[in-house]
Amino acid sequence: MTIAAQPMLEISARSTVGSRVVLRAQGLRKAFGGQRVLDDLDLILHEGEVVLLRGENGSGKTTLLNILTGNLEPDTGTIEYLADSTPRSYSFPRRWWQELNPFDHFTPEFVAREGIGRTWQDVRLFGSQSLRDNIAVAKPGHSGENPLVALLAPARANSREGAFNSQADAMLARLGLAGREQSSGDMVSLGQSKRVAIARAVVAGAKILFLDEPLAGLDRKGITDVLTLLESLVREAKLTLVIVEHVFNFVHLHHLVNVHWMLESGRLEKNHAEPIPQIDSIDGIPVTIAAPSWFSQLAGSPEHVTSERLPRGATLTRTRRPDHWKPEAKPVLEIKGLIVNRGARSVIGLDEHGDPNGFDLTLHQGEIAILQAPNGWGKSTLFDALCGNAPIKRGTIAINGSTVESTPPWIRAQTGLAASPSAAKLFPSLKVSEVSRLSPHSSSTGSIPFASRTISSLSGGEKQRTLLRMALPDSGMPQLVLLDEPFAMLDDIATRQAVEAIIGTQPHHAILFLIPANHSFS
Amino acid sequence: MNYLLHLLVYFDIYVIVALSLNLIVGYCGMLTLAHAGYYAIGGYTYALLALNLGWGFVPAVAVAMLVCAVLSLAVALPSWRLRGDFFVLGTLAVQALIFSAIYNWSSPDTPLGSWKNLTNGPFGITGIPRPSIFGWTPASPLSFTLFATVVAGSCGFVLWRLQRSPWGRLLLAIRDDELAARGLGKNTRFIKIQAVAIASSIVAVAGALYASHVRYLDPSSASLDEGILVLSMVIVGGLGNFKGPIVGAFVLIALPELLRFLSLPDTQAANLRLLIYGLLLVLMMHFRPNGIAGAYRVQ
Repeated sequence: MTIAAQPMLEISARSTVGSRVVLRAQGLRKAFGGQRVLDDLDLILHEGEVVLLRGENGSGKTTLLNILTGNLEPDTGTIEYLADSTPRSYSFPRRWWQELNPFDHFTPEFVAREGIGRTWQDVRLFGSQSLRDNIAVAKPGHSGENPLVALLAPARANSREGAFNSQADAMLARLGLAGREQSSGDMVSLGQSKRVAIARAVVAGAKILFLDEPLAGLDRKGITDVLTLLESLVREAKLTLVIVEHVFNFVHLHHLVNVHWMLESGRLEKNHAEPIPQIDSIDGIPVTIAAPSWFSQLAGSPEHVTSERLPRGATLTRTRRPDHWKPEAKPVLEIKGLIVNRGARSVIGLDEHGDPNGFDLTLHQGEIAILQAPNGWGKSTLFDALCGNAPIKRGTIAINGSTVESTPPWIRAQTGLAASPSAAKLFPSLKVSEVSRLSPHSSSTGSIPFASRTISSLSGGEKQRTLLRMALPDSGMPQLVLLDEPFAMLDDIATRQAVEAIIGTQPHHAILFLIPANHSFS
Repeated sequence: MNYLLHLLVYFDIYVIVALSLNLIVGYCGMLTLAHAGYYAIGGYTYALLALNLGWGFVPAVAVAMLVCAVLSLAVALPSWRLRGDFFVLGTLAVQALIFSAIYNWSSPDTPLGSWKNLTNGPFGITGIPRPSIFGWTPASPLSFTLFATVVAGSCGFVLWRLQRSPWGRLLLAIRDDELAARGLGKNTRFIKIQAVAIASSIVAVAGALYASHVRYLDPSSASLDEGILVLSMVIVGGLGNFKGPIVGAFVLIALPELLRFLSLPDTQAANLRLLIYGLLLVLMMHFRPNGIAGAYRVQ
């Protein structure tokens, strides 16, 4: 069964008409190397609005977010921050003498003090600090952050510190993280760390919060938790939100969003009435679980689709290319009794009770498998173990009949493994064409329009397309194609193109997708 | 016995150097090679004030700390824009500048301490007086050792209190992710200036202690070798906590001394000791990349 997306027009019942303006930008222009990303863009943000900022890959969503949060200066234009009691206005280009004034810089810290907060897609918690410290450090006006006070008046600093720690603990309890105060920032799940990052920005005094893909990479529970937090912040703290989110996650934001901004050709169109797929619910929780459009495109006929439950909330969905599926031939991938540790803890190969019984998986020629699992299940660990970047504790991995568990990554690539890792692992200073030539599988940049650009200048979606291009083998022996969240950051059109590219690969390849468990297939 | 007391004084001095350097490298994540330069400036300032003007230890050290704090802007300001390798190169340039200034700021015909002959160049400054603290002078090896231990303990206490304060926590946040800290409204540039100034002023105390102990100072205390030695201490001992630099100072002072007890041929002893010393450092970094007792690995 595939849940069909049903058209439904926004907007929520909450009206923002008449509420005060908290942010105004006029005539914003920004170009990179002659390519104009923002072109005379105007925007007005009212208090209490929850904006979904939409646009195709490369349309400039992240650029606009970076500009409005002080991380990037526009070429021209004006930005007025009106959320705080002392409004501040910046005009661009700024004169050199303005930079000499230490109290008038256009930087993230100055903009943050105007009540502007942001979260990043990659979260950016302070990894070496506890969750309590991650929140307490955000509190403005801490006298203990003055070294003289810390040294000469420790009692005063400690008294403020105690109060801030209590507030941080209360905030953590509100996030459902009571008892985790001392957990290190890099030892909590993605969903938990995203909630802490949002709370941290609020504690820092954010009245307008810019959220860069707050739901990306989250499983169902993580999405529910983040949405619940955002809803409560909007309802209780009257927070104004601007959300950039992946197209797959639009449906989850239905209850929250009351304004759409569509970024197109460098300009914004407000209240763009786009159809939103109908919301479903799970156990009464308003979260949509829908099969994305790419699955039906990929799966073809439904009779070839099978699903099986794996331990600890994971699902393996298989679809076969009937003419090329060869169960009698040597499997392209055969995993038996695999146990992989992260540190002292077993991650892969656990059963429902947490006992290490080993993970088994077999893929044949012409088979496409989608492993969806919750955050913390070990998808990244499995990916690393298959690629040879994480040592395995027990078990065997065979690619095209050759055992590879003790071979280095480059030998696995020669044996028939084509893997697409995360975009962060691309080579930032190389051009797309150069990166493509490094791939053992594909040297053609054919239809890529940005082949001459460097990786660091690409948007998230463009990087993802480059990765896919590198990973998909053009020809040769049957390959195991391993794709880690291949459609993250791709818009609809790019996703369709990517699926076509995957379908268009040699049909005897076996393809394994690893994605978070926020979709349902059957 | 005097040999051991001498080593203990050296240990006290390098504990101050390593702990102060840890504030920059371990807590701010900024790898600097210029720290020995400020150590030397502290020593020279103390030496000139004590020798030429007859100042006591406390006022001379206070001025030395102030001078180093002001000059530390040479390291702190580039950190606003330079990152990683470029910042290291910037601090290397500062170290070379300080060394060159000390080495060349001399004129044979003018008295020491005059504007034309501030450092006496490669000949160094001799006859630096023992510290005088409100009329008391630690003249014997034992009393000087006790004095050095009290000074090192005081510096250590100041740094310990700072590192455990909300200010220290803010430094760790900046080290972990400066952009995220700026996004929370933290003026990371100013905080880095504070940290480098505090570390540089505290290392000036170590420089003054060294000058008053050895009673001779030459440009080698600002050399790149010295800079690498103190950096090795914090990296080998471990960064980002209080005990790591102390362990590092102990190991790097004790190790060469222990190697003296090996029965090596006289003609090759020095080179062999260096070889063994280097090998041990490489092995230590391989098996303990966070240092012996560290909490953070420098990037």
